[in-house]
Amino acid sequence: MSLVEIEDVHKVFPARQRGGEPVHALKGVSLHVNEGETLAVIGESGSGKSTLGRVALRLIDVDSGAVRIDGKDLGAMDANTLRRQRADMQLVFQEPFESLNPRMAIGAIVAEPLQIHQPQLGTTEIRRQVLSTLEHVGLPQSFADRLPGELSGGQQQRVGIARAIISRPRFVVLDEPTSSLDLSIRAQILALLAELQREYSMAYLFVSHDMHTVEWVSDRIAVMYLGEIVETKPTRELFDAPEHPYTQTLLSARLSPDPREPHAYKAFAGHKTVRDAVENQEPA
Amino acid sequence: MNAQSEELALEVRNLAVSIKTPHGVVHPVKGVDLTVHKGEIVGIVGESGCGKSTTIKGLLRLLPANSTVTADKAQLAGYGDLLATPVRRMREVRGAKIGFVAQNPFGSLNPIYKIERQFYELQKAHKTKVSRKESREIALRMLDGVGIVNPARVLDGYAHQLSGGMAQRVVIALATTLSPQLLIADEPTTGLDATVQAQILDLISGFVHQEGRSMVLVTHDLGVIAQYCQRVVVMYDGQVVEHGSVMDVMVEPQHPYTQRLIASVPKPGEKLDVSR
Ligand SMILES: Nc1ncnc2c1ncn2[C@@H]1O[C@H](COP(=O)(O)OP(=O)(O)OP(=O)(O)O)[C@@H](O)[C@H]1O
Ligand SMILES: Nc1ncnc2c1ncn2[C@@H]1O[C@H](COP(=O)(O)OP(=O)(O)OP(=O)(O)O)[C@@H](O)[C@H]1O
Ligand SMILES: [Mg+2]
Ligand SMILES: [Mg+2]
Repeated sequence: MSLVEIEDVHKVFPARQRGGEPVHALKGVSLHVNEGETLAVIGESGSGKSTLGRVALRLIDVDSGAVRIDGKDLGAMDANTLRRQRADMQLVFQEPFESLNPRMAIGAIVAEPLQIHQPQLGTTEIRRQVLSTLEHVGLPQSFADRLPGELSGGQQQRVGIARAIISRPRFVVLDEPTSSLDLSIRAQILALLAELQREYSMAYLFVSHDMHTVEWVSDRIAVMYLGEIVETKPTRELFDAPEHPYTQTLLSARLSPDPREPHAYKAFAGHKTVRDAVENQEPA
Repeated sequence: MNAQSEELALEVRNLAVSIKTPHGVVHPVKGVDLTVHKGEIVGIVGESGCGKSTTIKGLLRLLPANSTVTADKAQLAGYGDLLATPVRRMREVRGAKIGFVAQNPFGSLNPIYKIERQFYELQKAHKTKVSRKESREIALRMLDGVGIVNPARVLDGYAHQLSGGMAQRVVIALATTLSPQLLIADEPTTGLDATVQAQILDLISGFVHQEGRSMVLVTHDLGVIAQYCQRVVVMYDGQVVEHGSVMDVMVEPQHPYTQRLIASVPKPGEKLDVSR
């Protein structure tokens, strides 16, 4: 049995006003994540990746389908059971600043999961763990007393990561967790995540637009396109033999960091949008 | 690079920012020079927290009141010195003369106005006359240009209904609506997949190179620097440690930080080494 199982989930955001169209953000999505495994989710902007991440933690309700952790249906849990279950599930938000309370000190933000789920640790021990977690994500301990608005974008992002890992949850959804980090700090954070995964068998659902990062960290990759998962494969296989036209387009659009190798990719080869390019090309 | 010239678009000398905090005064930017010619895209790279966003916000006078910005020169071509402009008059510069794409797109969208209204307010503030209908047509065209598939739905909705990458594209569309001569974008494509990123950077490159406009582009993506920028500035700890043509800096980096940065580009097929 996998740690996390998502089965045939549909999610529709209703139209807000008359004449508006509802958005069918997830159209029958199924996936599973094993203990100690990283499943990467890649896909077009707006294809439903963040919605999937929120659904996997039941931060939003689904219209149909099931989400299970350890075989237990999150949708069938009462508020109290769900609250206890949350100790094992964390999210690193895509928009770091939007997810940090601007009036709370960094130290208090990072401490929160421990205060909620392991209050028996006591203030001194919690403070100690907060400071060491800040250090692990490359932030000086003095940042504990700062407010989110006094941090750079990448520093805010690392606060979100510190908050998500401090309680060693069994399942973490990481939504673009390193998008605002330079390569050397990114490598440091990814190594930290890998280390924690090895030590605590944590399962990661890792959403990213960066194919280098995905190739680096994931065991398997699921590709989303217009609210559906169009292919799921072990990482090496997906890079070697991408099947869906969208995946192929995506891989060919990678930019070389060497200016002597100008990129041959012409946005969608004469098609106006990626959708045209994908739709006017049959699956290989 | 059709219209790239020696003509200056922006010249900044010795820009410094200090911020008063409850824990003392900090100096996140310590004397930065930045030269941008017409028709070119200048990239800024550097460690997380090295002062890239603060440099830009200082120049645009967007920092909070507890901060001080100084410079020997901050000359915008065809306008004058940005730091000599009173803060309240900077509203006229931003949007019309300089388009700005902030690192956090949701921070620059108004949560309680529909997206359509934000295009309208922007145009109304800078033009003598624009009707709702004209404004909507322009907005639809701008959103289509940045690859938004259903622009009408986006215009009739609110910021919180957008995905991260959609919000970034709305902000890019807003920043280019008034055809500013200079575009300053702080990590504008982090939420976009490679296909959409290429579409948008192709669009912006066309805008810059064919019409003699200019752009300053902050990014952590060295592929974006290598493929879309002509010159690059490397920042470290509040200072510029290296600058030059993309070809020179990326192929033969001189400063140890730049060397480290380029050496940490993952090689295709490489797996993360956790042994350290
Ligand atoms: N609260 C909401 N109300 C209405 N529509 C929403 C809401 N949240 C998301 N959507 C819509 O659902 C779709 C999927 O959004 P989602 O944020 O999951 O995309 P994503 O794959 O994470 O994109 P990105 O890569 O740009 O972050 C989009 O069309 C978006 O506009
Ligand atoms: N209001 C403030 N008070 C104290 N320090 C601040 C404040 N604002 C920014 N800083 C500090 O100034 C430094 C520069 O921040 P800035 O946002 O310019 O970095 P950046 O280069 O844009 O980083 P990133 O790539 O992570 O976005 C950071 O170390 C940050 O912590
Ligand atoms: Mg998202
Ligand atoms: Mg920044």
